[in-house]
Amino acid sequence: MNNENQFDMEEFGRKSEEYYNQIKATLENKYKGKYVALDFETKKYWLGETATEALTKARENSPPQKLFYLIQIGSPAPFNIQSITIRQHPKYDFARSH
Amino acid sequence: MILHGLIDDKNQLWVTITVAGNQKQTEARAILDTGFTGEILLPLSIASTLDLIPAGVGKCELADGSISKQKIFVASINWGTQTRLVTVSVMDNIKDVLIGGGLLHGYVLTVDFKQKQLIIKEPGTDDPQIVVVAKQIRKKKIKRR
Repeated sequence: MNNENQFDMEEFGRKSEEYYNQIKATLENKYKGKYVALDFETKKYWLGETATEALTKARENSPPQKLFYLIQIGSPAPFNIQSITIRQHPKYDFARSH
Repeated sequence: MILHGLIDDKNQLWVTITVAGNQKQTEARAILDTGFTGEILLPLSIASTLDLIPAGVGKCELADGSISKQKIFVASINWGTQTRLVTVSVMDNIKDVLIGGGLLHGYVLTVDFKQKQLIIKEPGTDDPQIVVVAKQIRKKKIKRR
């Protein structure tokens, strides 16, 4: 695998959350509970009633293969899985051959 | 749209869906898990065969309160008579496909533990079986008059 293409999820998350912190107060005031897909590079974000709605809007208005950070406004995480207790480390890699 | 499923002997709720990635698809039996607030959770063993389209990253909170970042993908599913885009999470070391409450947003879920059946439908959609029974009842009432 080409290391230059390896996706750094932690760095991506850190930068995305930095951007989200700039707009958090505004979003939580008006859109609590809704989903937001955000792009820290362009400082854009897209809202949706569902995760898919937010991501679909983001993908329709961005170059192909652009990646977004998904947040449920006002929640620590967009997804909860109450039936799973063991912390998983997904091995599926964006850089996997397509 | 109407989707029928069943309830097994362990009282788990199952529906069958087809999940499609970029070029590949698979039919899968999925558990309805209302403890999962996302849309679809795929085992890595299935996800890795589908060439899923990467969409981004999101956090996931597990039952023990731990929060981890997860890669998120988009896929399309056959959902009853509809095809719809969904947000997919992937996890290693799980064996079943999970459908979460996020996928049921806007739908009506009816669960009959006695008949071991479940129905997912859009509000206002009549279950063909229910429509037939209603007509029969109306006919009987008319005859009695």
